[in-house]
Amino acid sequence: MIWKEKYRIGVPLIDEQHEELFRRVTDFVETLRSPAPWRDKEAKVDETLNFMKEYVISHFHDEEAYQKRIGYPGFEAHRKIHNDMVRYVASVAEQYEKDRSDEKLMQQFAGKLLAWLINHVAAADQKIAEYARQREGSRQ
Amino acid sequence: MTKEIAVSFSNAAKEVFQTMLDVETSAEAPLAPADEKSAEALYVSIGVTGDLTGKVYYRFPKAMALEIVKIMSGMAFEEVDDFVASAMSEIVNIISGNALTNLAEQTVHCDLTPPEVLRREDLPARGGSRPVSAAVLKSAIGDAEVRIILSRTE
Repeated sequence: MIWKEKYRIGVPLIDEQHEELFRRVTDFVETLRSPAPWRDKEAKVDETLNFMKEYVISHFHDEEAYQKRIGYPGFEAHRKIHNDMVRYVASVAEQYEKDRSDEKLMQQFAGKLLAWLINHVAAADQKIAEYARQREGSRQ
Repeated sequence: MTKEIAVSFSNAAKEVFQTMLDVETSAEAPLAPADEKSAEALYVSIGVTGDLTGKVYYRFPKAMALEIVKIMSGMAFEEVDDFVASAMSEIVNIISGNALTNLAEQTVHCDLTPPEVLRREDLPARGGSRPVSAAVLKSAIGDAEVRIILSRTE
């Protein structure tokens, strides 16, 4: 995954978290796609699932706090997108715990995560930045 | 309404391609049905419920699907495997979700069911009683087709 400057929303904390998410998902995808045997990938799968379960929640919390602070009108719809993702990650982690050899599940998880994250950062979160810019402009 | 629905889906697809992939597309009405029998392609359908009922079918030529995932991941892919199919299904989910958001502004409220990867033989036969519209999204990385089979829920 390639981080692009245009993904920045102009809030340093959120932008740093997005970059970290990109780094982690890139590492995860590279590991999953490598020709190494599955047992060699399990540690990265565990690490990524644990990271996603915790970091995504704290990142979404920070992002939602910022939206509230600026009175973002799309807050509820955006929160629903976050909540759906948190539930999806938890569901995948639960399925994986039942069968740690399920490589198909992880390939599907990584594919969805890749597209979801790019869209979320490149499109959905940019609407917050656009609103913040308009709000700032109308104050001047 | 059929035209508005088709415009919502093609506009959503154009926007998603531009925003996520930096790929420009132009939407055109298909001149002839895509040659589904000869070209390798990935087919993904997604269900719609609510004010409208039915399915939307997306067809991505194999080379295009692989290129899309390459653009997103920075990695090369040779086959449409579970990873590629899942990433493309999410793209379909995103395009369709945005299309429904556009339609909601015209007071048509719908939800999506999860996308499904189809085999070519699972595609519905062309024709039938439900309204069908289709658009081809032409781009430098290939031409995708969106076929919309939706009708007003009674």
